[in-house]
Amino acid sequence: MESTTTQSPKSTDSGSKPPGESQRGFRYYSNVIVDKFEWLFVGFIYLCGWSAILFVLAIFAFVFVEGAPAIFGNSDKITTNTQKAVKEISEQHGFDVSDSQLDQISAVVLKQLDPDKYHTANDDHPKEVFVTDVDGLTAIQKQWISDRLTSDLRIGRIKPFKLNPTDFASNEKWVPESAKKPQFGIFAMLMGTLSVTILSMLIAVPLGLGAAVYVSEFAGGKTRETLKVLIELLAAIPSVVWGFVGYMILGPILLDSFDSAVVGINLLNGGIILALMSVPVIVSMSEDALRAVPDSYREAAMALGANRIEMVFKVLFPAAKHGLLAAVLLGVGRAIGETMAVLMCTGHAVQIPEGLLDPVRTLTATIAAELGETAPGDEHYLVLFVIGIVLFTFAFLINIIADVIVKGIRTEQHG
Amino acid sequence: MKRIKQFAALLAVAIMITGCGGSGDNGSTKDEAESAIRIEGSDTMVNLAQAWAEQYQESNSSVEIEVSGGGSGVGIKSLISGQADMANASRKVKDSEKARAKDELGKEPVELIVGRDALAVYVHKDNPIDEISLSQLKAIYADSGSITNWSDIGITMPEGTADEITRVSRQNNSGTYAYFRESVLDEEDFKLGSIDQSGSKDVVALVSTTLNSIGYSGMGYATPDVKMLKIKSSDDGEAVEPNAENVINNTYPIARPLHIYTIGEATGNVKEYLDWIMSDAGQAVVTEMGYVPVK
Repeated sequence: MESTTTQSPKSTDSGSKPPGESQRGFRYYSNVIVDKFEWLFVGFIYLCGWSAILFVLAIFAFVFVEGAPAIFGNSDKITTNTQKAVKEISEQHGFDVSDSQLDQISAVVLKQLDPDKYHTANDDHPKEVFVTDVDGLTAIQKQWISDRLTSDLRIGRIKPFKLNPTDFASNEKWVPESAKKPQFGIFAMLMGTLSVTILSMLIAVPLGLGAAVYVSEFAGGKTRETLKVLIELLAAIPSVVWGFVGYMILGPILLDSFDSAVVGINLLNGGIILALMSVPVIVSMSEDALRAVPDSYREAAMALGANRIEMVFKVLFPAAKHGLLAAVLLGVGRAIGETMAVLMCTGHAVQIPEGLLDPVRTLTATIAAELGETAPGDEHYLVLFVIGIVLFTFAFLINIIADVIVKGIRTEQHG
Repeated sequence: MKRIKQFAALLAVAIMITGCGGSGDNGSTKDEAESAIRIEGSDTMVNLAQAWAEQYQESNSSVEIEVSGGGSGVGIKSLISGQADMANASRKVKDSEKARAKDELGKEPVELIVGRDALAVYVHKDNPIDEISLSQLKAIYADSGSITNWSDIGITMPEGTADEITRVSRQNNSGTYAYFRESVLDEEDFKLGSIDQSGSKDVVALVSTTLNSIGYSGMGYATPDVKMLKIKSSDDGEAVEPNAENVINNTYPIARPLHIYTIGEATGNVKEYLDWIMSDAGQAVVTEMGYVPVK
């Protein structure tokens, strides 16, 4: 990098002797411009590189920061809101509230809005706030503060909330917009996501590996090139189109072919569509892995009298196992993260599936369907972001595992 | 030295990018926003809003009207964040939404009732059932309800069809969902495991292909493949058909007002448009689209 930048101007100067003003063509001037503004191009490349990394980090930070109050409780926010409100009240009525009094008032408010007790009343509104035991304020001042805080709480501006992690993970009831007692359990949806993903992988892995072996080993010249282009095309189909196929075509087919199917959009439908969506990823990745196996392996296998089945299963697969595993994991990542298609094909019903033909709901589809409505800072909004964190963690783990495995290939090849 | 140059380059490029973006935005979009009316919200009302917009633009071609659905909650949220000038809602605005509007904009949403709709209960056209009572509906949909099979309410499904009732419901930001919970379930929670569709039309579409299903949606969405059930307010009451006449004379038990919200009293373009909606011409569209006019 350093050496090329310092040398390039010299080389143009000395290499091509200035052939007289009239002969300096476009190429000469463009070279001059490129040399002069090299710093600008380099700067642009730097900016692109760094901004890509920053965007990813910023998105992660955003999801985490938005969801954090649900995990750690939003008592800080209530404290600041309360203090702000109390300052306003005191300004309005012309008296001062000291910092220690503010602390006392916030403590009283927090105690009265205990999250555990908050939803026990059959009522969306928290109890009234009484700040009677704050030192150094007159009775009327306490009354002003109490009245105003109570009215602020009544209209739902301040709501204490803390997600119970065990309940979140193990409760199968997802009723975020209940008129009585909202429940935030993702267990059923987690099962939905897992069952759809596992089912789709059961279909996609044999299909994808089979296709990869065919394309890389059995198909010759033209067939292989055509197939590769087709598979790449398949990967470019938008997920909403897949969803449409599942909803309009596969749904009625499933309904007709299974007597026990009560509805066409269900676990099986979602699993098949997701499998078809992950196949291109698996095929192109594992085809690369198979091509990377040196021909000497194939020749050796054939020299030993292995037939094609033996060659594929006993020579190629073991030799390419890291690449194949990484391909499968990327397919899993695709399946877990997919949203639009599963929203349309799985039936979107919150329940733990008991059979292949039950409708299910996935975590991603839930976020897609519900985030639009929720108010920022609302319980429902916070919990949807916690679901986002859960999905992020899944994706992160899968990618790390895939990465470690791919690194394994490299060291093996070089070593 | 090199580093400083690189840093300067970075800065220059960044300024170029943000500078261009900024000036470009300010130029043209503001004028457009002034003449366009952006309407968002209830899925029940999206067809109606579209029809209004088309009719209105025939005589007032200078006014641009953009209509989108998404659900009542989405509409009200966009209204508060300033992304919409009007919100369609098939439910009333919540106290918390009012408070947020006041916090952020200093004004409360103003309500206008622009029509009424019967919430119809749909089944497949081959389902032998013709009428259902509110208490049966509650027992089917509510969390505490015990009805899971058609035979529980004395219905024998055609040969080869499962007896189990497939419940079709709406996603929880829907005004229809909230209205059904309030008027049929007495604010009790829905039984989980229903198929939650994101649009009024989707409910009817799914019911039309699923023999043993039941769903609820606006009566404007009826198709030849589905059947609207007559509703009985009490178990021994009279079964009332969902139609305009029965909504007007208040005999159909689950009819609801359709609202349009604006932030503060409407002014300018928006006010003219709302006045037109409430005029005879605007209300004629309501009837045309299968809803019930307010007058």
